[in-house]
This record gives sequence, C-alpha cells and structure tokens, in this order.
Amino acid sequence: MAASLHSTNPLRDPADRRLPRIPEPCALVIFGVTGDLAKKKLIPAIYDLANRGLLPASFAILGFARRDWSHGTFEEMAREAAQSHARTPWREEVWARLAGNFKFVPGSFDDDAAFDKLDQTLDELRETHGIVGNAAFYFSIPPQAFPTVLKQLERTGMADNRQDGGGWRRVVVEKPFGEDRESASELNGLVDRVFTANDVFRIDHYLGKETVQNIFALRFANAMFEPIWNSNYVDHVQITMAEDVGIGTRAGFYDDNGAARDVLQNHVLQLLAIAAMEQPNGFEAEEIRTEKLKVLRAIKLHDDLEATAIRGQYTDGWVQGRPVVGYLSEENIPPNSTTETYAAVQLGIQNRRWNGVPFYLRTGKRLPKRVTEIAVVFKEAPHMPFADYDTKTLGNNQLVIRVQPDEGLTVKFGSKVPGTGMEVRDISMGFGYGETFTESSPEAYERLILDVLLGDKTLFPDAQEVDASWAVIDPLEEYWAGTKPEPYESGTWGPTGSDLMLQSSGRRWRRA
Amino acid sequence: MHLKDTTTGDIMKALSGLLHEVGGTSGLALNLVALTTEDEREEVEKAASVASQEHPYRLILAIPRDLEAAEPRIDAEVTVGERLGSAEAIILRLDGPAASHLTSIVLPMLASDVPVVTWWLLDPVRYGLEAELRTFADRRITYSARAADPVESLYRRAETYTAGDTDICWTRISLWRSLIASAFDGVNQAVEHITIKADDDDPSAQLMAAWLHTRLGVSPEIVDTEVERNSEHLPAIASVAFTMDGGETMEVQREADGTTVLRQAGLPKRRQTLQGRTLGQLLAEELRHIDPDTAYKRVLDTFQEHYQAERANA
Repeated sequence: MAASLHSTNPLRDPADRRLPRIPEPCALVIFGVTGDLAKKKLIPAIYDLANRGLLPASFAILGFARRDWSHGTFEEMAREAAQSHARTPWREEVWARLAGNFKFVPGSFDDDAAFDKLDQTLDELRETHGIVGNAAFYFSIPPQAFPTVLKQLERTGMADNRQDGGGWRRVVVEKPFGEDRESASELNGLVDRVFTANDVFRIDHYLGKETVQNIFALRFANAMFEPIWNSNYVDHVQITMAEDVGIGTRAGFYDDNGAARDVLQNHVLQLLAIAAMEQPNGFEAEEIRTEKLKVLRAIKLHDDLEATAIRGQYTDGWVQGRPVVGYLSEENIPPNSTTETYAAVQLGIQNRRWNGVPFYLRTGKRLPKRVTEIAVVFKEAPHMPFADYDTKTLGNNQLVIRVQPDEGLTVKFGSKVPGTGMEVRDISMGFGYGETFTESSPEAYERLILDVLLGDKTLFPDAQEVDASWAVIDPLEEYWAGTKPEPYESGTWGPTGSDLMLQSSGRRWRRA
Repeated sequence: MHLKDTTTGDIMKALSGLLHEVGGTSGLALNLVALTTEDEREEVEKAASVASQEHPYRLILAIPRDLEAAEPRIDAEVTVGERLGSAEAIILRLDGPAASHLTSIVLPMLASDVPVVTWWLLDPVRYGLEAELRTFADRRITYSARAADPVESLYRRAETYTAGDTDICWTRISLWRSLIASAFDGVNQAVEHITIKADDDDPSAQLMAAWLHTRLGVSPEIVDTEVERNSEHLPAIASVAFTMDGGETMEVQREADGTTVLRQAGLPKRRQTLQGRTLGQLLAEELRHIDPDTAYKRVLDTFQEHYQAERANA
C-alpha cells in the first residue's frame, strides 16, 4: 500500500533510499489522551518522528478526553510528555513546528455534541492546514468504551470519509482484542464494519521492535540458519517474556484477565508465529499474514494439560534488592483472586517442519528481570568422538534471539578449552544491535505510528490472527477455570510446576 | 598510546593489546579510512566520533605530514573508546614516501570482512593518492564544496566516477529533497518550469538541479543568489519554485534562521524547520548504506551532461 501511495510522485524513486517515507498531510486523533500510553509512548513517539523529519509538513494532533482543557493546555501537557519521554534529544525548533498543531476537544464518549465538534474540527483542518480529510483515530481507551466510540464515529460519518471529500480514515486499536474468541469476534466485527477491515490497525507493539523484524532477515536472508530450522535439528524452542514489575496500576484490568490473556495471547504467540512460520512469498502484508495464520492454526495444545499448562501467582518476596508484596495484597485485588500472574505452556505445531518439537512459552510478573527472548535449542550432535568426561559441561547448541533488552543474537556452541587435553566447553558468541548498528533503534511506537499514517499493514495482526490466537488460549482458560494458580515467590523464575513441565522430558528452562 | 617511528605490525599489536584490556572486540560494522591534514584533524575526529555511535568502526586516520622527508616514517596513536567515541582508532602521521605508499600501510590494518569506506577532506590528487585509494575502498566519500573550485571538483568526480563514490554535497541536500518530495505527494500535474535560487558555485545546488531534471524531465533554471547560511554544511539554496502546466505554482523557501515555508496554490502556507547538520551527522548518513548509490549516479550523470553542454556554449 505504501508503494501505491507514492507511485504517482515522480520524485520518489525506490532506489533513492535517502528519501524517507513520509505520510501524506494528515491528522492523528487520540482518544484517551490523558492516559499513560499517550503520555509515555504516543506523544513522545510523535516528537521523535518529527525530530527524524518523518512527519508531513501538515500534521495535526487532536486530543479527546473528559477534561476541561483548551488547545493550549493540551499542547503544554504534550510538550511536557515529549520532553520527559522522547528518545531523541530535545530540540526547540522541532517542537516549534509541532506547536500550534495541537487541538483539544473536551467531552465524554456518550456526548454527541462533543463528537460533532470533533468532526467539525477535523473538517476545519482542510482550510487551516491543507489536510484534506486524512485522519487516524487512536483508541488509547479501555476496551469497554470501544463500542460507544465506534458508534459515535459511525453516527458522525467520521469513520468513512468517502462522501465527505475523500482522504483516508484509519483506526488504531490496542490490545486486548477481546477476552476470548467470542468477544474478540464481536469486537472485530464491529470495528471492521464501522471502518473497513483494511483500515483497522491492531497494535501489538512487539512487532514494531527491530529485533522482531530482524527475525525475518535472519531466517530468510541467510543461507546458514534455515536448513537447520526444523525438527531434524531443533530439539525444542523456548519463548520467554519476563517482567520484573508487578501489576502496577492496572489492578482492575489485570485481575479480570491474567497473564495468559494479557501477554500470551498476543505478544508471545506473535513471536512464535514469526519464529516458526514458513517463508512468505514476499514481504507484502498479505503474504506474511498468510504464513503466520498457517502456523497459528497449526498449534495444538498437549493432551495432558495438567502437566503442560501451568499457572502461577506471585507471593511476597524480594525483587532486585527491594521487598515487594504478593499479588493478593496488591491494592484493589480481591484477597481470594485466582488470577494468574505467570503462565507457562507447552505447545506443538502440527506441520512437517515442527513435528515432535515442543514449544515452551512462559510469561510472568515479578520475575528476576525484564527479558524477552526466543531460544532455539538444538539436538545434541549425533555422535561424540570424545570421552564423556571431556564433554561433561557441553550443553546443547543454542541460538537465542534477544528481543529486549540488549537486542541482539547469541549463539552458544562447544569449543576446546586451551590445554593439553581435549576438554570441550560451551562458549557464546553475541551480536548486539546497539554495538553494530544505531546507537538506539527507533521505539516500536515510532515505527508503528508511522506505518499507520503510511497505510502499511505489514506489522499489524489482523482479525483472523486474533481469532486463531484465541483458539489457542480459550481451552487453557477453560481448563484453568475454577482452579487456583500455584504460588511462587516474587523474584524467582516462577512456580515449580513450570520447571517440572520441562524436567519430565529431561529438559530445563534456559536461565534468561 | 603513542608509537614513534613505528611499523604496522607494532601498531596492530598495540591495538589488539588495548582491545584485550577493554574486554575484547564488539561487532565492527566497517573500516573507515579518513585522509586529512593536521589543521582539519580535530574537525574530522569530532565528526568521526559522532558517526561511530551509529556505526562502530575501525577508524584509520591518515595525516600526510612532512612530504619532503627523504626517509619514510610512521608515527601512530592508537586509542579505543576515548575521545573518538566507540571507535577503535589508529591515527597515522606519515612522512616522505610513507604518505604516497598509503595502501601498503592501510591494507594490513583493515578489519577483515567488513567493508572499507574512505573519506577525504583533502585533495587526493595533490597527494598523489587518488589511484591508490581506489584499490581497497568499497565506498569513497568526498566533499567537493571544500575544493578550491567546488563545481569543477564535482565535475571531476563525475568524470572519474567509480561505483561506490559519493559526495557530502549530495548528502547535505537529503532533507531539502525530502521536503520537496513530500510537497509533490498528491500532486498529479506535470511540471513546466523550475527556478532554483541558489549560489551557482555550490555543488549542492547543481546536484539539486540535476536531481529535479532527472526525475521531472525539466531542466531547472538556477538564478545565482547570495544565500545566507547559518551552517557551513547547509546547501547554498534559498528557494525552489515550480510552475505546473496548468499554471499553478509551488515554492519551497528557506529563510536564514531555518524556517522553511511551503507555498502551494489552493493550500495554506506550511512551515517546517530545516537546519544544517553537523559533519558527523552527514557522515553517519553516508555510512548507512554501503552499496553504491545508484540514484546519486543518475543525478551525477545529468549534472555531467549539463556541465559539458554549458562549457561547450561558453
């Protein structure tokens, strides 16, 4: 889509890579602009994009929230947010260009007059800014509010601009995309009807990360990895997304959902899909989606869920030298809550490539550190011509994709220890993004907001992917319903059940 | 670490010793061989340290010193991660015949596998180095605005072009080009006339004209104008104006403070800021792509034809 956008512009030459892709004049409308996401991620990302010269000359930011703010108050708040959270250095002249382009429309989501005002404000941009109708609506709001806002956008005709002088209208929604397969399908149906399916952008910010996109390059641009990327050579795969923090201020939402719905359903399954998919025919959004869907739909849970679907809940403990309270003592959490803060599960992928290779996924809060990685653990060499005692400390070869932090790649393999014997020991070899490329890669939100404005859907999961992911999670939730998660001490690597899950087949979690 | 009257072998030993001390090498993205004079050394070092944050490289900075000396002599300074940012750096001062046999000194110092980029701020012809540098560089960066006759120097670059050549005068119009390109998004009319108000002697203005000519098929008229610049590394371009075949006009104009105004028929004025970048930022952009810049090559060809035609007329 991005290609067709610029195909009429004779100055855009695909061979001319110095010219960045810049969106057409447009507006970004943020619902829930007073929230944390807007302050810490969206507005700073807009500043960073401006600083990198990637925004169009005509660009307006419209905030909508239930505050009695003027345009100026909104701009002042945005300035503070950008100044304290932007990735790139603060430059007054960059801000000067954005300043004056912040508009605020106060109102609640059921306030018809407020939405009429918003519609009118968007129309005015035609005269004042030369923005002929293009607008993206960012839903930085609780999912319960989605239907109300969507209906308002439908009622005012803001969601569809075709009769109204043209220009695109897009909508950006954040997870959670529903809380099970049924509610997701209802929500998807509504969004896709009000906008058209093609104009709906579902943000999974993990897909905006350089390292995740690099998995495509690693697998499909190199000769040396793909031949061993299958059940002939791979023993198993571990995908970890660990957080050291607790639930923070999200008590209400978190307690209704838990780790599996919050993280496993989206980030972790997306990582799995990209790591396990077949080679796409090309890099068009549709071609990648086709392959991701095939993998997601080939996922099969283990028959013995008792041993392979583990839930945990953190108790009091110490994380990074500080005492922390257990989940049940967190503010606004019912003392008898059975919501999990840790989930680990073993899956299989039913296709020729992955037949018999277990995929172990785990995610949790209050673990020892924040780390996200995909570890591909290879089988042992078929024959070792060395004495047992010489290879005692030699483990399986590993290829670890470090998604965050310290984005990069680590390969672990055996090497001879200097000396007269033939002792072989594991060594690891690393590639760090920060060391070999840019000082700091763009924030995921920078990339994703830019892609929304350009209309490039490659990095956004669509309704079918969301549905296929819920099809994996629903049976787990059903199995867990009515059970209590296993407690684990804060600051440890999760409940013992999770370790036992791997031990039963002689494997163990990599210490991430 | 300073090494007097030394050899490449000793320099490499010193480097690997230093790397061992700081805990081994990280991934190197490329080798950067820079040629400069003692006067410009600080400027080059500063730029190199900025660019090294984006592209970790082994920097080999060669400074021809006493060209009259009869005996070849190499003095070297080896640093890792000090004033030169994250780069591994070797600064060479070369006397007599050592300067003109640079290849023999540089080849054993290059990190293996990764590409080699040469960057010179001095006139390689004067030092008899032009042919030598071609032998090992994958990319060659020059800065023709720094030559005595800038446009003539760019023309010479065009005549002797080898895949992988580039010039900072091209790099420094990227932001300008980007602004103009985005003004053309959604414009569906053919261009009839282009006027560029610029300093005629600025190679960047020539490249801007050649780029627009290449892409739009219309040869721009350059109106020689004195341009006030608040940074040396800005192109000396004041404005670019287009007349469409329907008669509408569009103009991008930069004022001395950096405010850039886009005037487009039927639309309100749009303002942006366009500031000069530092030499380090320009160098970093150059190092982002290591394969030959084919877009630049086409523009350079157009410039070359135009220059030849003008010379024939004169």
